[in-house]
Amino acid sequence: MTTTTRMDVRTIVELQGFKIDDMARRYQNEASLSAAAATTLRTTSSSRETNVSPYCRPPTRKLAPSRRILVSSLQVPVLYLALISPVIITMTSSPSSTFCTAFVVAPNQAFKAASPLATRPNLLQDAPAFMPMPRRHPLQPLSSSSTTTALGLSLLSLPEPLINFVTCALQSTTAATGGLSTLPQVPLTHAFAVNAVLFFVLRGKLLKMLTINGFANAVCLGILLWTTLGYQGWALCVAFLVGGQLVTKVKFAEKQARGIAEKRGGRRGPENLWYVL
Amino acid sequence: MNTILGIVVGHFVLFVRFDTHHDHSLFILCIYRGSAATGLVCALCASYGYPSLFGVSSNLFVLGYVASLATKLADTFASEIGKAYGKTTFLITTLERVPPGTEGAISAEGTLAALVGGLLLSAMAWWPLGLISGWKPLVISTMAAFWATNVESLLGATVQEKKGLEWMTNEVINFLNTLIGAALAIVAGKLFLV
Repeated sequence: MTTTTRMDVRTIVELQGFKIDDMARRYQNEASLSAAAATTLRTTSSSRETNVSPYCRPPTRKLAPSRRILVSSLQVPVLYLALISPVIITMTSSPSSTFCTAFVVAPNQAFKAASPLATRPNLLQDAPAFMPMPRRHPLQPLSSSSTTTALGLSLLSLPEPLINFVTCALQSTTAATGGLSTLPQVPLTHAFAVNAVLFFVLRGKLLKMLTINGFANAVCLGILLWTTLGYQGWALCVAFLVGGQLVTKVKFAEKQARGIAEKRGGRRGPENLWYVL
Repeated sequence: MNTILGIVVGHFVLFVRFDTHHDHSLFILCIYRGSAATGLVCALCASYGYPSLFGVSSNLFVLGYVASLATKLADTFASEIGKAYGKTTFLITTLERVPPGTEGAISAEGTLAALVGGLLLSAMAWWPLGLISGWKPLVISTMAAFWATNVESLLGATVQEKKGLEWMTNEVINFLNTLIGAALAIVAGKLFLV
């Protein structure tokens, strides 16, 4: 992605040997130059010390890399949800909402009846992906019987939803003999959460092999892979990325010298990521 | 039908690119033109089409997913190892000697590396991940990756960036490469496994 901001124009002019002050002086001497233009150019030469060009707005403050990643990786899922929410609303309101349940709300429910093998009791099939939590006043006690014991218990032992969450997110969808034994079943919310944590932890490594746009797209891809094939599919994809990166770095300096190395020092952008997989 | 619609719509929505580096940090939405990620399509078909879609069972789609990744790794191995260690490189169509790094060039080292790369990822899918199991799927995935890589060299030598085919960029060739790999694996699986 080539980004030529307006700030760069001035840099290019200077690099080519045209000093803006010289240009201003030369043009001021010309009789045909209008007064308005002369004023503009005088401003140029005076504003040189303050490093602000009148031809462009002051450059926008560049975000720190970590901030940029956060911003761009958040945009993808948020915009995805924003784009798909009208579809959700229309599809759920209509009686034939199979499409919606199949793709967005609860991917596991649609083919429950169709699959004979999905008889194993599954925690997720009973709980919808987006579970509305009942509202509770902050001062209202957790349980009607005794507040203290309920609070103490919930602090000491792991709450049941958390245990369910972890077991569901990490469950294997494959049998020991290979291939899918059950319906691939990790709900979107769980995949989202697990990927958010994993990408945050691995961001240092991943940013060495992906551009920032590539990283944002990888978050999306990671969520979808975790939803569809569980951690196995995700891990295989990561293995591919790592393997490809290792082999790209073999004799990299030599390749660079001969001009046949990969672009951007071997870092992959979204176009590599999506076309590639 | 609903599944297919869901997958198509979902893809159309998801192939959106975000550009935050641009001036005034505006988001620029670019819909990807005509691209689809083979591996993700296989994964979605396996998951949402369980137990079978288009008469192809989910396990074969998983094999297609593994094969598409194996193809890509084989291709990466072939090109990078070929560029680094390739001693004598030939053009795949005419068998002329060409410098390493030319599109459609093959070398003995690169071809061997393609086989190793495909085998590596397929073996990883067998153990420890358990996406496939047994020698047959392993061999099918590896060979699909190997042949798809060779077809990619052929495509690179014949159609890439020729006149009238400017849209055939390296990325499109890569996409076709994985598509061929996955298709080969699914067809072979249909023939030999079921």
